[in-house]
Amino acid sequence: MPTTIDPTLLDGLAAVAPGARIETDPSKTSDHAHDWWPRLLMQRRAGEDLPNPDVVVAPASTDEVAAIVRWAHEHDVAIVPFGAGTGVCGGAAPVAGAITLDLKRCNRILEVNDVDGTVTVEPGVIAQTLEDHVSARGWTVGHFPSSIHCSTVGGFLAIRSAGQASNLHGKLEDRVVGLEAVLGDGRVFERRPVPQSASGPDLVRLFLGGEGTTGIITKATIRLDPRPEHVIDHGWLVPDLQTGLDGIRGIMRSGVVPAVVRLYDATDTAVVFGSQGLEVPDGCLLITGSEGSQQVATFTHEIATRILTDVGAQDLGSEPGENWRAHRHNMSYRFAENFKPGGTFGDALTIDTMEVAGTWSVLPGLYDDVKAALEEHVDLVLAHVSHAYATGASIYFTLGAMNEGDEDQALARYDAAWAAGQSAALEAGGTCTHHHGIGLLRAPWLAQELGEVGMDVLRGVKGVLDPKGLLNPGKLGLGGEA
Amino acid sequence: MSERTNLPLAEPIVAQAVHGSYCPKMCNHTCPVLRATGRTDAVPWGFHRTVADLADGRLAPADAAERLIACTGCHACAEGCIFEDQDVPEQVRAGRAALHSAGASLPAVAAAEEAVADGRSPFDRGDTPGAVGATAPTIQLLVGCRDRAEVVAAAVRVLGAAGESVAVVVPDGCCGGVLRDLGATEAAADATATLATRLRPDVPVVLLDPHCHDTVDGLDADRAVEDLVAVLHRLVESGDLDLDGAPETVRWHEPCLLVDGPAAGAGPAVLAGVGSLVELPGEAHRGCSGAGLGMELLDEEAAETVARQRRAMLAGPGPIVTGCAGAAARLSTDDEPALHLVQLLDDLLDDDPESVA
Repeated sequence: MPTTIDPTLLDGLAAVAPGARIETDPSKTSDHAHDWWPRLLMQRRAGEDLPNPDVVVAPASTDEVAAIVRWAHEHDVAIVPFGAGTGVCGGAAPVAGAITLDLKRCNRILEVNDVDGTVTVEPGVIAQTLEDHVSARGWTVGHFPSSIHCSTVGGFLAIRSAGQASNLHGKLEDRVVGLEAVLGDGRVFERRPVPQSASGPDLVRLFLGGEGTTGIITKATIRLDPRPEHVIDHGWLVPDLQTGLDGIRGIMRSGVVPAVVRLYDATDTAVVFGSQGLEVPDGCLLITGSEGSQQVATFTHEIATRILTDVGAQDLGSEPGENWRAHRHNMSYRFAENFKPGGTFGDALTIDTMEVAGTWSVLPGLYDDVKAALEEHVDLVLAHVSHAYATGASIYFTLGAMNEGDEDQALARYDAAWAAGQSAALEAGGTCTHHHGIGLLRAPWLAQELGEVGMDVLRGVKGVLDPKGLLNPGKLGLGGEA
Repeated sequence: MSERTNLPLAEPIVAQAVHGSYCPKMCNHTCPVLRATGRTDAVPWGFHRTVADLADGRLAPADAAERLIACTGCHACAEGCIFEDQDVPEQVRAGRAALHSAGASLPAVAAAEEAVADGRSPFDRGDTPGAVGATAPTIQLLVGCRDRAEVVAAAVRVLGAAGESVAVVVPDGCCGGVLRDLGATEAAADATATLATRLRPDVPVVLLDPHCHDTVDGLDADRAVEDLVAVLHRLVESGDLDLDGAPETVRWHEPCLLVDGPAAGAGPAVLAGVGSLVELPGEAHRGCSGAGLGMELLDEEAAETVARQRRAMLAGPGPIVTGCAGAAARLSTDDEPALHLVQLLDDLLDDDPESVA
């Protein structure tokens, strides 16, 4: 693969996709020089000029995407799909000699089907815009990540995102009933919307989590749920993390599941209470959010209350839950406040989040091991559980280190913490990631989770869908250097 | 890339911009320009980053001018932001002013300066409205640089029907507001100083274009200044206008500057007062016409794309009505002209003078 694009080729690109916007001015392509991977942001903060894409192309339709991909296939030009550029693992980081394919112009909400309870949408729609659209029609997508205000539907599908109400609504990938994607040679894969099927393996899954390496998602049909009429948020205090995990496990097996279930470890609990100026309790905060019709929400809350009371949870009333809901996007909103030069914790802060998952039997050890591994390298480690299943849950670690303005130290501690944390998670029987994806960040550890045979399968799938290895090379550790 | 240099920008602006440049684009969902164009440089984050980079010399002024064009100043991004001190349009204005001082602004800025120096509007609006004198005016109607003659005439008739004596003040090309938006601060100050000599200090000013608010408010803190839409609301509510035959349904476009100002909601109240069913499209606050912050002078394609999106959001029965000349112009098509609210009321005036209160 060439590491630069022959400028004379671009006339041909403009000819095959005349409606696409093509940008080569470095002062403009610099907008696509990084996504929201904190390591790239730290490099920028340190004064480094990150390499820009050679070309940014912005199509507005599947036909244009397909034409661009066919052109790239013909000329051996790699393609980096780009949504809002808010992924946190470098999945949209540019590749030398590649075009970055900005999909934000593919942003039509094509149809809300009230009979089927589905919405068909293009990838460039900001998730909150989609939620507003369906909410006005009595529905919810049920996907509420902290980054819902800034990120695109396509990006969320590409990384297998989970939202804060995933306990009831599932991950976004679980809600996909139909999909369209452009393959590496420009052909268009289309899976018609179906409620379920047994017609061979589920091919849609080849693109969800593919991060643009297996195809470029150009349309998705997503299952909707009725917009909840009633929400009951509530707070609990459990004496320790294990008690909280026991309570959540009981809830997830009860048959009625609150949309929101969150359990904070003792350190994170101290931060939650301390940041509100409240006395820090001895124990772990647990939040539930039950929703649905008045009857369903009330019943769900009653079941959760009984289960949590049985494990010894202390009832804190509705205020902690309501406070969480009021500030549920703050993690993202306050990122700049902490991260920027001269931020809350001074210059050169190391900060990131690492979400991993494990079965119930693995989780306690996973928590202990990852926390200990991270604490070897950073000053503060917080953790919460916010996506639970009948068989296990995700643990979301937040790591931070103050470096008194030393950006080299900030990066060194960042790299060391990630290496230690990922290794610990995998050795404990967990995953690399739960809902942020792989990108460049976690590519070194993916084989440890999938196994060598699994990686061979992945490479084989990639080879069929993208025979020249031109789609997002280097991401997921596939197809060349990024 | 061109030569880099640190541009002098005021510290509060730089601090806001640096902060925003590290924000993960949390206002993406609010930005009508992003939604219409899909452009990353049109996200408020793009403006934050540009201004921050200009201040610390990471971006050459010659490379920046086209990065500060696609904002309409609608302030939708401020609605969801939890940081109250973020003012994206003000950062864009400051960035444009710094570029202009450095000789790096776009030719459209010089063209606007030249137009105003010649006494012409920076916008192509057709006939220039004429000034109207009054021996003892009760209202000075300030005409904006996008207000068309027929809208001014309608305003005079409607206000006159309510018993007001109207003096029409037409600035020499611009009150200074648009020039300030474009970053031409010295020319803006000159234009505003000229306007100040035209306005009588003792007579309330009514703004036909809400975009003139900042300029006129800055002239004299004690001066009574109102948006025409707010005045119309008062007149309809008090029964001072005798109106007849309102359309059954009206699609209202709330101009961003009314959303942010004291006249918020006045337009729909006027329409409800005359008996029309008001259709307010969903996400009304985010529905921008593309008329603000001089975007159409700097990036006509983006302005038209934003307007097209807004027209699609407004699709439905009845006329499109708004309270801003710029918005009316952008939302009008050959097939479907958008009306200023005062034009609608003008059409509803009972022509029998005996019946006018």
